[in-house]
Amino acid sequence: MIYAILGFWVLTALMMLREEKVGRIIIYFGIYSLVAAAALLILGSPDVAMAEIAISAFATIFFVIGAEKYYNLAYGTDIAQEDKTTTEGMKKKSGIKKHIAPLVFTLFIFGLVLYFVPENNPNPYLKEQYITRFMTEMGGENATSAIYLGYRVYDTIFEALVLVVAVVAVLHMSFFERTSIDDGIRSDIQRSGLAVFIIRIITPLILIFGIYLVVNGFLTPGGGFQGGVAVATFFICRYMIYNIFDLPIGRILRMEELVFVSIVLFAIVGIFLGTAAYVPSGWLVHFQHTYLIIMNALIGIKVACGFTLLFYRYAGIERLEGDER
Amino acid sequence: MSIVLEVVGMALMALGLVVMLIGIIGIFRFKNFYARILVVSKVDTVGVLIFLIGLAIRHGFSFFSGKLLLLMVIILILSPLVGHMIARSAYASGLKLTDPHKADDKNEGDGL
Repeated sequence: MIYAILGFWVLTALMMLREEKVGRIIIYFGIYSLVAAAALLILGSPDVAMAEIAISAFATIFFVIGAEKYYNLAYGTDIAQEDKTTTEGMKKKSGIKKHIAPLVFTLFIFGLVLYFVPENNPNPYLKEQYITRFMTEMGGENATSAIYLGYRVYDTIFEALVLVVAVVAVLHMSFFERTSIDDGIRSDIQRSGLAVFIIRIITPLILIFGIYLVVNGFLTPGGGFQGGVAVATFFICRYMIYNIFDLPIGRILRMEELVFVSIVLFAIVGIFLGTAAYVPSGWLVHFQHTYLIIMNALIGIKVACGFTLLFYRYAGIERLEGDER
Repeated sequence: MSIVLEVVGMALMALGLVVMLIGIIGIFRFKNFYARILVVSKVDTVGVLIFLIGLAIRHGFSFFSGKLLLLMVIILILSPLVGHMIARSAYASGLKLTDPHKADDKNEGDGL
């Protein structure tokens, strides 16, 4: 069974290599990533499958933007081949085959996933190890934060890297040349007085709630990622009240990158070097709590900066430049 | 005493769910966007509030009910504001209040 899905994986890769039209290659890339994720799921690593799907989603967007500039997407690199796609040729291939192949493919993938997702977990060893041990080994009372900051911190570093790259890519890939708003320009949308009045009351509560989520991430549900989004919402509310784009974009981007580097360094010092063995015996709980709080705070700062930059880019520059055109 | 609290709480929770169900039926019956947003922004808030009042009564006078009270205040302030902003942005984007193709002598264009 495993060999069937591996063979299918190689088959879709070969299908990508043999195709000449660039638009079709991009679509086959999407199919390839789906089959690869199914294969990784069956081989026993669902987190790599999720990372594969996320990365291929972003990569497809980049391919489309890049390919549109250099190739004519419908015809490939050789424009003289348009004679091949006459109307008689297209009519022969359509018909019933057009509907059968995607249906069979979809049923095959669904059947594989349903067959391999276990209802009664045949191997709960890892789950029981995490649940029985996380309070003494990692500290805190939230098992999720113990897992993503302690046992699987490597995945968290990778996830933070993906977020930084996404923000940098959005800020640098644009149809407009302008990259920041320096003159404190105000947007010209007529604002609603009711909305501004109520948001002025709610905004401090949102900031306090975001900081609460970040700092208490190791005791109650929350953590760096959720709290960071709440703090970014605070900055969006600030724009809605004052209607001005005056944040220093370059400095916030630098700060986000530096915070990401410090996340990696802190994870190395806290987990990978094994310093928990050298801590004197009464101080282990304090060391664990310090590590959890500081990691959550750094992740929260990073996520808040990233989402504020994305909002600034889309609502500020894309909209203002788009209105001028 | 606790039995009375339990029964009253469950009855209010059921009433809140029935109110939300009526609102959802209303979404499918109305054809115009503005009629739909009118229904949703009222029924959504009121249904959730009745549901949370029932839940708070069921748990009696405790810390949990205090947290639910704070949540009710925030929902009461923010949920109608969301409906207002959606309708306002739809109007500012150019969505007409009545569809001129549907207005005729029988119904005045609200498409019910």
